Amino acid sequence: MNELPNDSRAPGAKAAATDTAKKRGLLVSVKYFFTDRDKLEPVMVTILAALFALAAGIGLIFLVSKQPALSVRNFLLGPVLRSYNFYYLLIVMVPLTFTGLAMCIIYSLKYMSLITDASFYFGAVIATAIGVKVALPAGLHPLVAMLAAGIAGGLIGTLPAILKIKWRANELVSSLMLNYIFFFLGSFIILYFLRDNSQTIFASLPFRKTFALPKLIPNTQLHAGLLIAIAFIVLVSLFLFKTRWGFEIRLTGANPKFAAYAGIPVATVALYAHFIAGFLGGLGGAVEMSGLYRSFIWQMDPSYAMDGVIVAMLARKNPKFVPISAFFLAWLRVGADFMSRRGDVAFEFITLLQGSIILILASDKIVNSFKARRLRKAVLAANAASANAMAEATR
Amino acid sequence: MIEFISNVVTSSNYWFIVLRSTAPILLVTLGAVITEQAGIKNMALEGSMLWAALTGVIVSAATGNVWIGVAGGIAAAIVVALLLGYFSLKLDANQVLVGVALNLVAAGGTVFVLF
Repeated sequence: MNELPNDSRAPGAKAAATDTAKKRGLLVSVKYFFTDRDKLEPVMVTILAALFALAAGIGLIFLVSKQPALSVRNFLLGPVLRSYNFYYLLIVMVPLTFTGLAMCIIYSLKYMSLITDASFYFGAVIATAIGVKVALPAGLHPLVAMLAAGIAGGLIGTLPAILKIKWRANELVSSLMLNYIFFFLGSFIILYFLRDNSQTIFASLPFRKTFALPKLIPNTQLHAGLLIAIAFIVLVSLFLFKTRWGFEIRLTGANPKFAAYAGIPVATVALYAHFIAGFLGGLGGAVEMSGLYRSFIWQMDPSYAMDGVIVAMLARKNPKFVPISAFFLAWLRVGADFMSRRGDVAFEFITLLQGSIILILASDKIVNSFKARRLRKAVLAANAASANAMAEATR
Repeated sequence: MIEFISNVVTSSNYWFIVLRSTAPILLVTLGAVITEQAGIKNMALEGSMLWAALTGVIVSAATGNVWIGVAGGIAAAIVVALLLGYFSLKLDANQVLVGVALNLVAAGGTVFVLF
Protein backbone atom coordinates (compact mmCIF):
# COMPACT_ATOMS: atom_id res chain seq x y z
CA MET A 1 0.00 0.00 0.00
CA ASN A 2 2.88 2.32 0.75
CA GLU A 3 4.18 1.87 -2.76
CA LEU A 4 1.39 3.87 -4.34
CA PRO A 5 2.41 7.43 -3.44
CA ASN A 6 6.04 6.62 -4.27
CA ASP A 7 5.03 5.17 -7.59
CA SER A 8 2.95 8.18 -8.58
CA ARG A 9 5.54 10.66 -7.43
CA ALA A 10 8.41 9.17 -9.45
CA PRO A 11 7.07 10.02 -12.93
CA GLY A 12 6.05 13.47 -11.72
CA ALA A 13 9.55 14.22 -10.46
CA LYS A 14 11.00 12.89 -13.69
CA ALA A 15 8.72 15.12 -15.76
CA ALA A 16 9.74 18.14 -13.70
CA ALA A 17 13.40 17.30 -14.22
CA THR A 18 12.98 17.05 -17.99
CA ASP A 19 11.06 20.34 -17.97
CA THR A 20 13.95 22.16 -16.33
CA ALA A 21 16.35 20.42 -18.71
CA LYS A 22 14.37 21.76 -21.65
CA LYS A 23 14.36 25.27 -20.19
CA ARG A 24 18.12 25.23 -19.72
CA GLY A 25 18.71 25.03 -23.44
CA LEU A 26 21.35 23.22 -25.40
CA LEU A 27 24.37 25.41 -24.62
CA VAL A 28 23.75 25.35 -20.89
CA SER A 29 23.20 21.61 -20.90
CA VAL A 30 26.53 21.12 -22.69
CA LYS A 31 28.18 23.29 -20.05
CA TYR A 32 26.32 21.37 -17.36
CA PHE A 33 27.62 18.14 -18.88
CA PHE A 34 31.22 19.29 -18.62
CA THR A 35 30.83 20.36 -15.01
CA ASP A 36 28.94 17.22 -13.93
CA ARG A 37 31.83 14.88 -13.33
CA ASP A 38 29.59 11.87 -12.71
CA LYS A 39 28.65 12.07 -16.37
CA LEU A 40 31.94 13.33 -17.72
CA GLU A 41 34.28 10.71 -16.26
CA PRO A 42 32.70 7.58 -17.85
CA VAL A 43 32.74 9.32 -21.23
CA MET A 44 36.37 10.31 -20.76
CA VAL A 45 37.32 6.75 -19.82
CA THR A 46 35.51 5.44 -22.90
CA ILE A 47 37.28 7.86 -25.21
CA LEU A 48 40.59 7.07 -23.52
CA ALA A 49 39.99 3.34 -24.03
CA ALA A 50 39.36 3.94 -27.72
CA LEU A 51 42.47 6.12 -28.00
CA PHE A 52 44.48 3.56 -26.07
CA ALA A 53 43.40 0.87 -28.52
CA LEU A 54 44.45 3.06 -31.43
CA ALA A 55 47.81 3.85 -29.83
CA ALA A 56 48.41 0.17 -29.01
CA GLY A 57 47.54 -0.71 -32.60
CA ILE A 58 50.02 1.81 -33.97
CA GLY A 59 52.66 0.58 -31.53
CA LEU A 60 52.09 -3.01 -32.66
CA ILE A 61 52.39 -2.01 -36.29
CA PHE A 62 55.73 -0.32 -35.59
CA LEU A 63 56.81 -3.47 -33.76
CA VAL A 64 56.18 -5.95 -36.57
CA SER A 65 55.97 -4.07 -39.84
CA LYS A 66 58.88 -3.50 -42.19
CA GLN A 67 57.20 -0.40 -43.58
CA PRO A 68 55.42 1.00 -40.52
CA ALA A 69 54.61 4.46 -41.88
CA LEU A 70 52.72 3.07 -44.86
CA SER A 71 50.91 0.49 -42.71
CA VAL A 72 49.87 3.09 -40.13
CA ARG A 73 48.60 5.35 -42.88
CA ASN A 74 46.62 2.50 -44.41
CA PHE A 75 45.26 1.52 -41.00
CA LEU A 76 44.15 4.99 -39.90
CA LEU A 77 43.08 6.45 -43.22
CA GLY A 78 42.20 3.28 -45.13
CA PRO A 79 38.44 3.85 -45.07
CA VAL A 80 38.73 7.29 -46.68
CA LEU A 81 41.58 6.58 -49.08
CA ARG A 82 39.33 4.62 -51.43
CA SER A 83 35.65 5.25 -51.99
CA TYR A 84 34.83 1.52 -52.09
CA ASN A 85 36.45 1.20 -48.67
CA PHE A 86 34.07 3.80 -47.29
CA TYR A 87 31.07 1.94 -48.70
CA TYR A 88 32.51 -1.21 -47.19
CA LEU A 89 32.74 0.58 -43.83
CA LEU A 90 29.05 1.49 -44.02
CA ILE A 91 28.22 -2.13 -44.85
CA VAL A 92 30.28 -3.39 -41.91
CA MET A 93 28.43 -0.93 -39.66
CA VAL A 94 25.05 -2.60 -40.32
CA PRO A 95 25.54 -5.89 -38.42
CA LEU A 96 27.57 -4.09 -35.73
CA THR A 97 24.65 -1.72 -35.21
CA PHE A 98 22.11 -4.52 -34.85
CA THR A 99 24.16 -6.57 -32.40
CA GLY A 100 25.24 -3.39 -30.60
CA LEU A 101 21.61 -2.35 -30.09
CA ALA A 102 20.75 -5.85 -28.87
CA MET A 103 23.63 -5.72 -26.40
CA CYS A 104 22.53 -2.25 -25.21
CA ILE A 105 19.18 -3.73 -24.18
CA ILE A 106 20.74 -6.76 -22.51
CA TYR A 107 23.28 -4.58 -20.67
CA SER A 108 20.59 -2.15 -19.56
CA LEU A 109 19.19 -5.17 -17.77
CA LYS A 110 22.67 -5.93 -16.29
CA TYR A 111 22.66 -9.35 -17.91
CA MET A 112 25.83 -10.52 -19.62
CA SER A 113 24.31 -12.87 -22.15
CA LEU A 114 26.06 -13.33 -25.51
CA ILE A 115 23.09 -15.11 -27.06
CA THR A 116 22.83 -12.48 -29.80
CA ASP A 117 25.47 -14.49 -31.63
CA ALA A 118 23.16 -17.49 -31.92
CA SER A 119 20.22 -15.23 -32.78
CA PHE A 120 22.23 -13.57 -35.52
CA TYR A 121 23.49 -16.81 -37.05
CA PHE A 122 20.17 -18.60 -36.80
CA GLY A 123 18.33 -15.55 -38.12
CA ALA A 124 20.58 -15.74 -41.16
CA VAL A 125 19.76 -19.46 -41.53
CA ILE A 126 16.02 -18.83 -41.29
CA ALA A 127 16.31 -15.99 -43.79
CA THR A 128 18.22 -18.33 -46.11
CA ALA A 129 15.48 -20.95 -45.88
CA ILE A 130 12.84 -18.35 -46.75
CA GLY A 131 15.02 -16.79 -49.41
CA VAL A 132 15.55 -20.14 -51.11
CA LYS A 133 12.31 -22.03 -50.62
CA VAL A 134 9.49 -19.48 -50.46
CA ALA A 135 8.19 -17.58 -53.47
CA LEU A 136 6.98 -14.08 -52.64
CA PRO A 137 6.79 -10.73 -54.45
CA ALA A 138 9.91 -8.54 -54.41
CA GLY A 139 9.10 -5.99 -51.70
CA LEU A 140 7.48 -8.47 -49.36
CA HIS A 141 10.06 -11.25 -49.57
CA PRO A 142 12.90 -9.71 -47.51
CA LEU A 143 10.39 -8.25 -45.05
CA VAL A 144 8.82 -11.65 -44.36
CA ALA A 145 12.27 -13.20 -44.03
CA MET A 146 13.37 -10.48 -41.59
CA LEU A 147 10.24 -10.87 -39.49
CA ALA A 148 10.60 -14.67 -39.33
CA ALA A 149 14.32 -14.44 -38.59
CA GLY A 150 13.65 -11.83 -35.92
CA ILE A 151 11.05 -13.95 -34.19
CA ALA A 152 13.28 -17.03 -34.32
CA GLY A 153 16.19 -14.96 -32.98
CA GLY A 154 13.97 -13.54 -30.26
CA LEU A 155 12.84 -16.97 -29.11
CA ILE A 156 16.47 -18.12 -29.01
CA GLY A 157 17.34 -14.95 -27.12
CA THR A 158 14.93 -15.77 -24.30
CA LEU A 159 16.55 -19.17 -23.63
CA PRO A 160 19.43 -17.98 -21.39
CA ALA A 161 17.01 -15.70 -19.53
CA ILE A 162 14.69 -18.65 -18.87
CA LEU A 163 17.63 -20.78 -17.72
CA LYS A 164 18.75 -17.98 -15.42
CA ILE A 165 15.32 -17.24 -13.95
CA LYS A 166 14.28 -20.86 -13.50
CA TRP A 167 17.53 -22.57 -12.55
CA ARG A 168 19.93 -19.71 -11.83
CA ALA A 169 22.30 -20.78 -14.59
CA ASN A 170 24.98 -18.20 -15.31
CA GLU A 171 23.62 -16.52 -18.42
CA LEU A 172 27.06 -15.87 -19.93
CA VAL A 173 28.11 -19.51 -19.76
CA SER A 174 24.75 -20.88 -20.90
CA SER A 175 24.61 -18.40 -23.78
CA LEU A 176 28.11 -19.37 -24.90
CA MET A 177 27.08 -23.04 -24.94
CA LEU A 178 23.80 -22.25 -26.71
CA ASN A 179 25.81 -20.35 -29.31
CA TYR A 180 27.61 -23.60 -30.17
CA ILE A 181 24.35 -25.54 -30.25
CA PHE A 182 22.62 -23.14 -32.59
CA PHE A 183 25.69 -22.73 -34.76
CA PHE A 184 25.86 -26.46 -35.43
CA LEU A 185 22.08 -26.75 -35.73
CA GLY A 186 22.16 -23.99 -38.32
CA SER A 187 25.04 -25.62 -40.21
CA PHE A 188 23.10 -28.89 -40.15
CA ILE A 189 20.02 -27.25 -41.64
CA ILE A 190 22.06 -25.61 -44.38
CA LEU A 191 24.01 -28.79 -45.16
CA TYR A 192 21.08 -31.22 -45.22
CA PHE A 193 18.20 -29.17 -46.56
CA LEU A 194 19.54 -26.15 -48.38
CA ARG A 195 22.95 -27.15 -49.69
CA ASP A 196 23.82 -26.44 -53.31
CA ASN A 197 25.22 -29.81 -54.46
CA SER A 198 26.56 -28.39 -57.69
CA GLN A 199 29.15 -26.42 -55.72
CA THR A 200 32.20 -27.96 -54.13
CA ILE A 201 32.46 -25.25 -51.48
CA PHE A 202 30.08 -24.87 -48.54
CA ALA A 203 27.18 -22.88 -49.92
CA SER A 204 23.41 -22.95 -49.79
CA LEU A 205 21.24 -22.85 -52.88
CA PRO A 206 21.20 -19.34 -54.38
CA PHE A 207 18.52 -16.99 -53.11
CA ARG A 208 15.58 -16.04 -55.29
CA LYS A 209 15.94 -12.73 -57.12
CA THR A 210 13.07 -11.22 -55.13
CA PHE A 211 14.93 -11.79 -51.86
CA ALA A 212 17.65 -9.17 -52.44
CA LEU A 213 17.39 -5.81 -50.72
CA PRO A 214 17.71 -2.86 -53.12
CA LYS A 215 21.12 -1.20 -53.40
CA LEU A 216 21.32 2.38 -52.16
CA ILE A 217 23.99 3.40 -54.67
CA PRO A 218 24.27 1.53 -57.97
CA ASN A 219 27.45 -0.45 -58.65
CA THR A 220 28.34 -0.65 -54.97
CA GLN A 221 27.52 -3.21 -52.30
CA LEU A 222 25.82 -0.58 -50.16
CA HIS A 223 22.31 -1.90 -49.48
CA ALA A 224 19.11 -0.65 -47.92
CA GLY A 225 20.00 -2.49 -44.69
CA LEU A 226 21.77 0.68 -43.60
CA LEU A 227 18.44 2.53 -43.58
CA ILE A 228 16.84 -0.28 -41.59
CA ALA A 229 19.70 -0.09 -39.09
CA ILE A 230 19.27 3.68 -38.72
CA ALA A 231 15.52 3.25 -38.26
CA PHE A 232 16.14 0.71 -35.52
CA ILE A 233 18.61 2.99 -33.74
CA VAL A 234 15.80 5.55 -33.43
CA LEU A 235 13.23 2.91 -32.47
CA VAL A 236 15.40 1.32 -29.79
CA SER A 237 16.37 4.72 -28.34
CA LEU A 238 12.70 5.64 -28.08
CA PHE A 239 11.86 2.23 -26.67
CA LEU A 240 14.54 2.28 -24.01
CA PHE A 241 14.14 5.88 -22.85
CA LYS A 242 10.59 6.95 -23.71
CA THR A 243 8.38 3.93 -23.04
CA ARG A 244 7.20 2.21 -19.92
CA TRP A 245 8.76 -1.09 -20.96
CA GLY A 246 12.14 0.51 -21.53
CA PHE A 247 11.93 2.22 -18.16
CA GLU A 248 11.10 -1.10 -16.53
CA ILE A 249 14.14 -2.68 -18.20
CA ARG A 250 16.44 0.10 -16.99
CA LEU A 251 14.98 0.06 -13.50
CA THR A 252 15.33 -3.72 -13.26
CA GLY A 253 18.92 -3.43 -14.41
CA ALA A 254 19.72 -0.70 -11.92
CA ASN A 255 18.34 -2.62 -8.97
CA PRO A 256 16.32 -5.83 -9.44
CA LYS A 257 15.27 -6.01 -5.79
CA PHE A 258 13.96 -2.45 -5.79
CA ALA A 259 12.20 -3.09 -9.10
CA ALA A 260 10.53 -6.21 -7.71
CA TYR A 261 9.48 -4.27 -4.60
CA ALA A 262 8.03 -1.50 -6.76
CA GLY A 263 5.77 -4.08 -8.36
CA ILE A 264 7.62 -4.66 -11.61
CA PRO A 265 7.39 -8.28 -12.84
CA VAL A 266 11.16 -8.73 -13.00
CA ALA A 267 11.08 -12.14 -14.73
CA THR A 268 8.71 -10.93 -17.44
CA VAL A 269 10.86 -7.86 -18.01
CA ALA A 270 13.96 -10.04 -18.44
CA LEU A 271 12.08 -12.27 -20.89
CA TYR A 272 10.79 -9.54 -23.17
CA ALA A 273 14.06 -7.62 -23.05
CA HIS A 274 15.85 -10.75 -24.22
CA PHE A 275 13.20 -11.37 -26.84
CA ILE A 276 13.71 -7.89 -28.27
CA ALA A 277 17.50 -8.23 -28.16
CA GLY A 278 17.30 -11.59 -29.90
CA PHE A 279 14.84 -10.12 -32.40
CA LEU A 280 17.38 -7.42 -33.27
CA GLY A 281 20.08 -10.08 -33.65
CA GLY A 282 17.96 -12.28 -35.92
CA LEU A 283 16.91 -9.25 -37.94
CA GLY A 284 20.56 -8.30 -38.36
CA GLY A 285 21.34 -11.79 -39.69
CA ALA A 286 18.47 -11.60 -42.18
CA VAL A 287 19.51 -8.12 -43.33
CA GLU A 288 23.06 -9.35 -43.90
CA MET A 289 21.79 -12.27 -45.97
CA SER A 290 19.39 -10.35 -48.16
CA GLY A 291 21.57 -7.26 -48.48
CA LEU A 292 25.00 -8.67 -49.06
CA TYR A 293 24.95 -12.28 -50.22
CA ARG A 294 23.60 -14.38 -53.05
CA SER A 295 23.70 -17.57 -51.00
CA PHE A 296 24.54 -18.62 -47.45
CA ILE A 297 28.32 -19.09 -47.32
CA TRP A 298 29.25 -18.69 -43.64
CA GLN A 299 31.34 -21.74 -42.90
CA MET A 300 32.45 -20.20 -39.62
CA ASP A 301 30.38 -18.35 -37.09
CA PRO A 302 30.94 -14.66 -37.87
CA SER A 303 30.81 -13.95 -34.09
CA TYR A 304 29.14 -10.59 -34.23
CA ALA A 305 28.07 -10.82 -30.58
CA MET A 306 31.51 -9.94 -29.26
CA ASP A 307 31.58 -6.98 -31.60
CA GLY A 308 28.14 -6.08 -30.29
CA VAL A 309 29.56 -6.19 -26.76
CA ILE A 310 32.28 -3.73 -27.75
CA VAL A 311 29.82 -1.46 -29.55
CA ALA A 312 27.44 -1.44 -26.59
CA MET A 313 30.24 -0.83 -24.10
CA LEU A 314 31.68 2.02 -26.14
CA ALA A 315 28.18 3.47 -26.43
CA ARG A 316 27.77 3.08 -22.65
CA LYS A 317 24.50 1.15 -23.12
CA ASN A 318 22.89 4.16 -24.81
CA PRO A 319 21.41 3.36 -28.26
CA LYS A 320 21.94 6.99 -29.29
CA PHE A 321 25.70 6.49 -29.30
CA VAL A 322 25.59 3.12 -31.06
CA PRO A 323 26.12 4.63 -34.54
CA ILE A 324 29.26 6.44 -33.31
CA SER A 325 30.79 3.38 -31.69
CA ALA A 326 29.76 1.11 -34.58
CA PHE A 327 31.38 3.61 -36.94
CA PHE A 328 34.56 3.58 -34.85
CA LEU A 329 34.74 -0.22 -34.76
CA ALA A 330 33.94 -0.49 -38.46
CA TRP A 331 36.69 2.05 -39.14
CA LEU A 332 39.18 -0.09 -37.19
CA ARG A 333 38.00 -3.20 -39.05
CA VAL A 334 38.16 -1.73 -42.52
CA GLY A 335 41.44 0.02 -41.82
CA ALA A 336 43.00 -3.21 -40.54
CA ASP A 337 41.64 -5.14 -43.49
CA PHE A 338 42.99 -2.60 -45.99
CA MET A 339 46.35 -2.53 -44.21
CA SER A 340 46.70 -6.31 -44.07
CA ARG A 341 45.97 -6.64 -47.78
CA ARG A 342 48.58 -4.03 -48.68
CA GLY A 343 51.24 -4.66 -46.11
CA ASP A 344 52.85 -7.21 -43.85
CA VAL A 345 50.63 -6.90 -40.77
CA ALA A 346 48.08 -9.67 -40.14
CA PHE A 347 44.38 -8.77 -39.87
CA GLU A 348 44.17 -10.70 -36.59
CA PHE A 349 45.82 -7.83 -34.75
CA ILE A 350 42.39 -6.20 -34.65
CA THR A 351 41.25 -8.81 -32.11
CA LEU A 352 44.08 -7.71 -29.82
CA LEU A 353 42.72 -4.16 -29.92
CA GLN A 354 39.12 -5.30 -29.44
CA GLY A 355 40.07 -7.51 -26.50
CA SER A 356 41.93 -4.68 -24.80
CA ILE A 357 38.97 -2.32 -25.31
CA ILE A 358 36.68 -4.85 -23.61
CA LEU A 359 39.14 -5.36 -20.76
CA ILE A 360 39.42 -1.62 -20.06
CA LEU A 361 35.72 -0.88 -20.36
CA ALA A 362 34.68 -3.93 -18.32
CA SER A 363 36.84 -2.77 -15.44
CA ASP A 364 34.32 -0.83 -13.38
CA LYS A 365 36.95 0.31 -10.93
CA ILE A 366 38.80 2.43 -13.47
CA VAL A 367 35.77 4.71 -13.72
CA ASN A 368 34.74 4.35 -10.12
CA SER A 369 38.20 5.19 -8.80
CA PHE A 370 37.83 8.79 -10.00
CA LYS A 371 34.51 9.09 -8.21
CA ALA A 372 35.84 7.39 -5.08
CA ARG A 373 38.80 9.78 -4.97
CA ARG A 374 36.51 12.76 -5.40
CA LEU A 375 34.17 11.55 -2.67
CA ARG A 376 37.08 10.90 -0.33
CA LYS A 377 38.37 14.43 -0.93
CA ALA A 378 34.91 15.88 -0.32
CA VAL A 379 34.50 13.92 2.90
CA LEU A 380 37.95 14.95 4.12
CA ALA A 381 37.21 18.59 3.29
CA ALA A 382 33.87 18.38 5.09
CA ASN A 383 35.55 16.79 8.11
CA ALA A 384 38.21 19.49 8.15
CA ALA A 385 35.54 22.19 7.88
CA SER A 386 33.51 20.75 10.73
CA ALA A 387 36.67 20.36 12.83
CA ASN A 388 37.47 24.02 12.16
CA ALA A 389 33.95 24.99 13.10
CA MET A 390 34.25 22.99 16.31
CA ALA A 391 37.53 24.70 17.08
CA GLU A 392 35.95 28.10 16.41
CA ALA A 393 33.01 27.29 18.65
CA THR A 394 35.12 26.10 21.58
CA ARG A 395 37.54 29.02 21.37
CA MET B 1 26.85 -50.85 -37.64
CA ILE B 2 27.27 -52.65 -34.31
CA GLU B 3 30.11 -54.67 -35.77
CA PHE B 4 31.75 -51.48 -36.95
CA ILE B 5 31.46 -49.91 -33.51
CA SER B 6 32.76 -53.01 -31.75
CA ASN B 7 35.68 -53.12 -34.17
CA VAL B 8 36.49 -49.51 -33.40
CA VAL B 9 36.14 -49.89 -29.65
CA THR B 10 38.32 -52.99 -29.50
CA SER B 11 41.12 -51.59 -31.64
CA SER B 12 44.18 -50.44 -29.72
CA ASN B 13 44.51 -47.38 -31.94
CA TYR B 14 41.17 -46.08 -30.71
CA TRP B 15 42.27 -46.19 -27.09
CA PHE B 16 45.55 -44.48 -27.92
CA ILE B 17 43.58 -41.64 -29.47
CA VAL B 18 41.25 -41.54 -26.47
CA LEU B 19 44.19 -41.27 -24.09
CA ARG B 20 45.93 -38.69 -26.25
CA SER B 21 42.91 -36.43 -26.53
CA THR B 22 42.03 -36.91 -22.87
CA ALA B 23 45.33 -35.45 -21.65
CA PRO B 24 44.77 -31.78 -22.54
CA ILE B 25 41.10 -31.84 -21.51
CA LEU B 26 41.95 -33.53 -18.22
CA LEU B 27 44.69 -31.05 -17.38
CA VAL B 28 42.62 -28.01 -18.20
CA THR B 29 39.70 -29.47 -16.24
CA LEU B 30 41.93 -29.83 -13.21
CA GLY B 31 42.81 -26.15 -13.57
CA ALA B 32 39.14 -25.22 -13.83
CA VAL B 33 38.33 -27.31 -10.75
CA ILE B 34 40.98 -25.50 -8.72
CA THR B 35 39.74 -22.02 -9.64
CA GLU B 36 36.12 -23.10 -9.20
CA GLN B 37 36.96 -24.16 -5.63
CA ALA B 38 37.99 -20.56 -5.01
CA GLY B 39 34.75 -19.32 -6.56
CA ILE B 40 36.33 -18.00 -9.74
CA LYS B 41 35.07 -18.86 -13.19
CA ASN B 42 38.22 -19.08 -15.26
CA MET B 43 36.93 -18.84 -18.81
CA ALA B 44 40.38 -17.68 -19.89
CA LEU B 45 41.76 -21.24 -19.64
CA GLU B 46 41.33 -21.59 -23.37
CA GLY B 47 43.39 -18.46 -23.89
CA SER B 48 45.94 -19.82 -21.42
CA MET B 49 46.21 -23.02 -23.44
CA LEU B 50 46.63 -21.15 -26.71
CA TRP B 51 49.36 -18.87 -25.38
CA ALA B 52 51.07 -21.81 -23.63
CA ALA B 53 51.07 -23.88 -26.80
CA LEU B 54 52.53 -21.03 -28.84
CA THR B 55 55.13 -20.07 -26.23
CA GLY B 56 56.07 -23.72 -25.74
CA VAL B 57 56.72 -24.15 -29.44
CA ILE B 58 58.69 -20.91 -29.73
CA VAL B 59 60.81 -21.44 -26.60
CA SER B 60 61.56 -25.08 -27.33
CA ALA B 61 62.50 -24.22 -30.90
CA ALA B 62 64.73 -21.39 -29.73
CA THR B 63 66.49 -23.34 -26.96
CA GLY B 64 66.34 -26.83 -28.46
CA ASN B 65 65.20 -28.23 -25.13
CA VAL B 66 61.70 -29.64 -24.62
CA TRP B 67 61.59 -29.03 -20.88
CA ILE B 68 62.56 -25.39 -21.11
CA GLY B 69 59.79 -25.08 -23.72
CA VAL B 70 57.30 -26.65 -21.31
CA ALA B 71 58.40 -24.26 -18.57
CA GLY B 72 58.00 -21.31 -20.94
CA GLY B 73 54.51 -22.45 -21.89
CA ILE B 74 53.51 -22.80 -18.26
CA ALA B 75 54.88 -19.34 -17.52
CA ALA B 76 52.82 -17.87 -20.38
CA ALA B 77 49.67 -19.56 -19.09
CA ILE B 78 50.34 -18.22 -15.60
CA VAL B 79 50.64 -14.71 -17.01
CA VAL B 80 47.21 -15.07 -18.63
CA ALA B 81 45.73 -16.33 -15.36
CA LEU B 82 47.31 -13.42 -13.49
CA LEU B 83 45.81 -11.00 -16.01
CA LEU B 84 42.40 -12.55 -15.39
CA GLY B 85 42.91 -12.18 -11.66
CA TYR B 86 44.07 -8.58 -11.95
CA PHE B 87 41.17 -7.45 -14.13
CA SER B 88 38.43 -9.36 -12.33
CA LEU B 89 39.59 -8.98 -8.73
CA LYS B 90 41.54 -5.70 -8.66
CA LEU B 91 39.55 -3.80 -11.28
CA ASP B 92 36.11 -5.30 -10.56
CA ALA B 93 35.40 -6.48 -14.10
CA ASN B 94 32.97 -9.31 -14.78
CA GLN B 95 35.02 -12.52 -14.51
CA VAL B 96 33.43 -14.38 -17.38
CA LEU B 97 33.54 -11.35 -19.65
CA VAL B 98 37.24 -10.84 -18.93
CA GLY B 99 37.80 -14.53 -19.66
CA VAL B 100 36.00 -14.29 -22.98
CA ALA B 101 37.94 -11.12 -23.85
CA LEU B 102 41.23 -12.84 -23.00
CA ASN B 103 40.22 -15.78 -25.20
CA LEU B 104 39.52 -13.32 -28.00
CA VAL B 105 42.91 -11.73 -27.49
CA ALA B 106 44.55 -15.16 -27.45
CA ALA B 107 42.77 -16.40 -30.57
CA GLY B 108 43.84 -13.32 -32.53
CA GLY B 109 47.14 -12.71 -30.79
CA THR B 110 48.58 -16.19 -31.34
CA VAL B 111 47.80 -16.02 -35.05
CA PHE B 112 49.27 -12.51 -35.13
CA VAL B 113 52.50 -13.60 -33.41
CA LEU B 114 52.75 -16.65 -35.66
CA PHE B 115 52.35 -14.45 -38.71
